[in-house]
Amino acid sequence: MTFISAGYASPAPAGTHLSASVWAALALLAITPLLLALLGAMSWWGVLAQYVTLTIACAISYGAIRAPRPQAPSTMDDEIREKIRTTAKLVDDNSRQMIAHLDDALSKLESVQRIVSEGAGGLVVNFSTISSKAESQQELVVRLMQTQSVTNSGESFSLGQFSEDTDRMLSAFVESTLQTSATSINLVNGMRELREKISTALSYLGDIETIAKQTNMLALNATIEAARAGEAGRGFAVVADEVRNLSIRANEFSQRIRDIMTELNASVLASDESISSMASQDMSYVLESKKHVVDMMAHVQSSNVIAERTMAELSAIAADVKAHTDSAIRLLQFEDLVRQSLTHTSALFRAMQPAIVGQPQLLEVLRRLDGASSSDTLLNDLNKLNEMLSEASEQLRHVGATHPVQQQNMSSGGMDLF
Amino acid sequence: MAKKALTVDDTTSMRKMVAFALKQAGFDAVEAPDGQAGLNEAKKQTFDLIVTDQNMPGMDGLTLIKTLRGLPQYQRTPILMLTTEAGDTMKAQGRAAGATGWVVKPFDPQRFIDLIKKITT
Repeated sequence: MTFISAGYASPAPAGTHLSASVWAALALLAITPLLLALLGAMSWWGVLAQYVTLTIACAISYGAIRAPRPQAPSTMDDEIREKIRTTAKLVDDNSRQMIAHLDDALSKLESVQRIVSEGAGGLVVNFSTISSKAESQQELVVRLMQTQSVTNSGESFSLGQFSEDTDRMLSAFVESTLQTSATSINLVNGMRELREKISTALSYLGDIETIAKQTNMLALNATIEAARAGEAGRGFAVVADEVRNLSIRANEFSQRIRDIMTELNASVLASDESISSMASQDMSYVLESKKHVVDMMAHVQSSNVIAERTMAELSAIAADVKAHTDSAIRLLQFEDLVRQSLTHTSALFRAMQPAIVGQPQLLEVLRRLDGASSSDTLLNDLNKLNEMLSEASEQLRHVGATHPVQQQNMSSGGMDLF
Repeated sequence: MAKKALTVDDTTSMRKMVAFALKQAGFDAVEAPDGQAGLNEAKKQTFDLIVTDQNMPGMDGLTLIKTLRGLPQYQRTPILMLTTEAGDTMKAQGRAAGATGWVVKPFDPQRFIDLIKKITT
């Protein structure tokens, strides 16, 4: 407002000041190309051209404002007017380009937001699933370890203990088998002695039978001699008969005993064969079997140790995976931080647009300071422009003052309970 | 029967992450994309825990908390603010609005689960 009234309503005093809105617009003119260049929406040559144009425009405008003015509206030099027109055209062209680039940048920001959102959303689902699976895996390993150490009855059990028990039982069994084998050998020896005794007894029975036969013969001879003695030998004949009967009975007993001894001998012989067969069995296979089973149990125990170690490692890996997925889930929150920053940047860009639109409008007004327009019209236009630029300035200040993301890195944030 | 929790955030991935953490803490999670949608869900069913973002289109987190505290069924329900805002002024506003706690993003899942367990048991 100030410079308009200074230019036309009254002579311009020394040290005339531009309004705050105009300063804001000029500041925007200076900052915007730099921002666009930084965002990649404008080349550095474009920035240079913009600054050259801006400088010329400012110089011309400021010269026009600060130059001592005649009491009545005067006409500008035709060359200067032409220069201002050209500058205004260039600024207008640049402004249009900046608006277009800002629109493009906004579109790209939205596109980036969409892509990041889609990618991060998918990753969150994947990492959440991985974390759940890792947790399930850890639970399974723990359950497996518990199954290995507890029986159905709930008693504690370990494969190592099982191996030791088996080894002890197997040793007792082998010891018992070897003891049985040694006993069998003793039995075989006993049977051999028994058979020898039976043979001796049978030979003694042969002697008895021989004696019985000889006795029978003696009795028979005694009977003959008694008959030859006649009456006197009758009593002796009776004794001889009795002796003969005794010898016959002795022979019969001997025969019975022989029969029994023969049967006994046969039984002993059969038992001897069985026991000999048992005693003669090779015990080495028992020892070999025991060694084999011991080796197997050692292998099982070794496998068990490896399995336990592997399960412990699996459990640790699962815990590690969970920790890493938790970390990934924390890091994936970058999407929210980036999205909010991009949304804020988009808001800044949108707030810049009215200020950029104001650039050519400002120059157009400045161009008309040559007196071609009436003061009222200029005042009216400047009021509108000031209003628009004030709103733009306010909006920029508002958006610039609020930045929802203060985080400088992806370290986890604080937690406060009220 | 599992407890129910409501997570309100306009960022889909954040809602998914919070829902995942809530599930690990033993909750059935319901998601809402902004304050108004969250309020509608909270009126449809009663939740045992609510986790909300601050900066959302439409109704923001502070307004949602104030509104929920005005409902009889949510006067004592734990409500956590989960936001990028870390300033003391905002935290004071959250406390005044009735938030139970203030968690600054990004959150660590395990620490977040521990906090949830602490305020819900």
